[in-house]
Amino acid sequence: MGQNIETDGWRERSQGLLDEAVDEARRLHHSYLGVEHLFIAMLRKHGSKAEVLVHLFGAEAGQLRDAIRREMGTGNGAAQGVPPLTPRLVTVLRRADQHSGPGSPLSEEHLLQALFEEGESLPVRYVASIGWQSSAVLACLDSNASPNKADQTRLAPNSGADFATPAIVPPSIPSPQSSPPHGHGPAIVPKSEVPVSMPTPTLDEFGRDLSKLARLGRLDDATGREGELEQIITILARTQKSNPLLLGEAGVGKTAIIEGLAWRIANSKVPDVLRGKRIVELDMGGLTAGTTLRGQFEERVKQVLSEATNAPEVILFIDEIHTIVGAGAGSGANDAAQMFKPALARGDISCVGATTQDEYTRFLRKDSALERRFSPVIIKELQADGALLVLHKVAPRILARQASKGHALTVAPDALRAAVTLTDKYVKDRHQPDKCIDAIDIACARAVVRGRNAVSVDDVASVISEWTGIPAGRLTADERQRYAGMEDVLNQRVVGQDQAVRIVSRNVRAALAGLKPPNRPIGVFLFVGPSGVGKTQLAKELATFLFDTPDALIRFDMGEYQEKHMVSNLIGSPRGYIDSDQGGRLSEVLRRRPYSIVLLDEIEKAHPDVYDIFFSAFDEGYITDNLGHQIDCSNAVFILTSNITISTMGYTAAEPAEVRSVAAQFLRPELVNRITEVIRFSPLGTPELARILDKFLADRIERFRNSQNLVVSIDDSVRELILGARFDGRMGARPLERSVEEFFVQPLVGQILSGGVTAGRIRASVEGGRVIFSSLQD
Amino acid sequence: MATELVLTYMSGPHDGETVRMAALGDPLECTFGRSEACSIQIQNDPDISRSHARLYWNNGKWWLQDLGSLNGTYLGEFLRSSKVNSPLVVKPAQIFRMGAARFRLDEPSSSDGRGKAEAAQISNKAT
Repeated sequence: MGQNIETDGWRERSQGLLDEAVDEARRLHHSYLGVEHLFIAMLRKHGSKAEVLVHLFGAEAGQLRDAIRREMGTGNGAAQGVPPLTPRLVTVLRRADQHSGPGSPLSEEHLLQALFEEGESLPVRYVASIGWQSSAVLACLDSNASPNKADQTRLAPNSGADFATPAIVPPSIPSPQSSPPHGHGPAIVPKSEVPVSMPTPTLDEFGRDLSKLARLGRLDDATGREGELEQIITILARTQKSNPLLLGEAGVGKTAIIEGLAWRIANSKVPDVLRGKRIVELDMGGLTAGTTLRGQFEERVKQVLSEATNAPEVILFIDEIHTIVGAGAGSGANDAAQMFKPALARGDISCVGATTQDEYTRFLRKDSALERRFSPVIIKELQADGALLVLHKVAPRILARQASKGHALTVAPDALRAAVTLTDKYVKDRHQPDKCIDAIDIACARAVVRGRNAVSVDDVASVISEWTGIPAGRLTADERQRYAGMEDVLNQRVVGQDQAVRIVSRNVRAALAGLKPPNRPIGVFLFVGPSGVGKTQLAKELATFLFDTPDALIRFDMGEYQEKHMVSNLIGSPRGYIDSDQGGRLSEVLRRRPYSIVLLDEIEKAHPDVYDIFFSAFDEGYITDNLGHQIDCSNAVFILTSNITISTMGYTAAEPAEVRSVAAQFLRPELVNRITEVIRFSPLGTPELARILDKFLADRIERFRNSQNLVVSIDDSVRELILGARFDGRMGARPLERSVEEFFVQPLVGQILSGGVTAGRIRASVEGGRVIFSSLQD
Repeated sequence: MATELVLTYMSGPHDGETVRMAALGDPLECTFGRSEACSIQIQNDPDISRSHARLYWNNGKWWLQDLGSLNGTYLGEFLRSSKVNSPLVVKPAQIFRMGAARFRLDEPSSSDGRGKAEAAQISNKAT
């Protein structure tokens, strides 16, 4: 070292070539000047001998330049002033001196000849590695780039046309991969797996090279997304707006599609137009992180854009692209979107974005200048069979990852199928294939934690049960047997309403057997009858029977919805109002728990406008909340209760059809029309009340036994006293409960407190119109 | 036995320069990296680790070993390059690469006429 381009007047004599080489070294941030820079400088010159030579060997100057640049890499900083020459460049220049004669101009031929004679520089080693023979090159140069007639065999029709020099063919066809000429000369096909590219240090730092990951086998093809991929490839091949924007709900696999594209590019399964492309996922968070100084963020974004512009093979992928709107914006600063716009508009960069429909509407749509640069591709949720295919590919990866942590697991094929069908059926607020993958992943994690090595259908069911609140056993068990005995179970708990129980059971059974239209609720029932006859009780028992928990009953007292504006309580406030970002009571509960019983008590008291939201629920099986989300109701049971007939007609005499027509007078007819069954609850007669009284008493006796260790036996006289005192058919069973408290519970509590009764067996009987308690001897 | 190690830079600012060194230590070795303690210090290359790789003499051959570098060491270049995961034998005239720096292992006798040979005695990394 120590020599520079001024030595021996080289700079003057090279006719600007060495200056070009210095420029190239600066571009690559190299602090020295080498043979590589000189060679690239020669290739950059249009119509240069080097370019002609490269064409003769069936290569393309730009590609060769990029390949050499990639092999060199970028440095840490360019030297100020004149960079020192490498020893090899000095050798080459001295050799060229010999050819030209001291003091004469150093022509390109002399330099090229010296370069190939020296024979060990990186460019020469590179071209040798792709099949060029130094002797052949030197032979070409020796003939002063004039055609060697003896060697001229054949040449592609127009390969020599662009150049001043007549076409010749080198003594030996260099590249073994050269294809027979058709149309134009065979291009260099880099044998290297790594496509040739410009150095992109900033992108490398802030991006994730999907193409590289694909080559390393870390990514997989996108399953079941042929149509979408074709759309994306078509958009990328466009001359304008060649920027696909993937729109789809969270979890439908937008990122997976782009990873699939990277995989296809890496495996050469794409049309020619995408061959050699490199997809780099830009990490917007990383770009913003650590930018403490003003302008730092802009500088990074600019650098990324300039690298992406200079490296035409780069396709930027920005996941959650709405984050570029506003990223880096501060007082007086541009956000990233403003900086991307010109590059996108000019078509300098190719960019793929992905975001959800919501975010697209909220952020990108506002910025129409940005929006119009993109061509949207709608990504729909995968159907069950597609999701299963995906799961079959993903599950082995989950297992491999667990295995790498030392947990060998197996997953039953049934479990995969169950994950798809159960999530499809029961998990409505998430999307395939994300939800089924999650279910399997959690089931595997749980197996690992519990030290088991197999994942079964039951494990998957228990995960989904946790998400939905539906008991695991219920998800997989055969329910036919249970539903056959539905009436018996309900009748045991709801007294005296055999007919109502029968109608409800019949309808629910039919709906669950698949005899209902798929988008209708399981049932919409109007329970009509006097107070206290078991309407709410039946709803509760139905919740327990169907969904195993009384919590599945969501109760709305429609008396609270007498005002028009109370609708917003059910489905959330409209945009622009306070709390519009929160959901409504009904919509939120149904979203989280689609398997529910919705009880609308005293429906006739609600404001008629409140009914409107139920029309679509009863008819189409969904309600639309304040944000426009459709919430599925097809797995819910709606029970409306009313006691309208009491004052208008003797409900004992009313037939269902009559009740329906009376209901239509009080409710809006279109609502009544959407009700599956109007069910009349009979008033309770003495035998029914006696059975209910027995239930109440049994319940109280049980409580005394548990809390006070008292075993109480009750005389019939007590029963008669209670029944006789408060029997009033119109009030239903509720007064009965109050009588039990008054005649039995409170006197007994008094006795316990006064010490008249202690633990043991006691008997309750009537004496003088009052209940008295006496101890029984064992 | 002290063996002479002859290496030629095949890229970078020293491209074409040949270094000869009397490898010392047991086993005889020559280390490469960004750190000053390395026998051959490679600066201004972001892809080079502090202690990147080493050549050591074993069974009459030079072996190339990666010292857990971040970006790897490769034997061969361009299409015929393989990552050095476990020590590999380097034959004379073979090129190996770390970051953008490339070296060729030369035969002690054949290096005289090649390039601008600089006899350099580089102290070995203290063992």
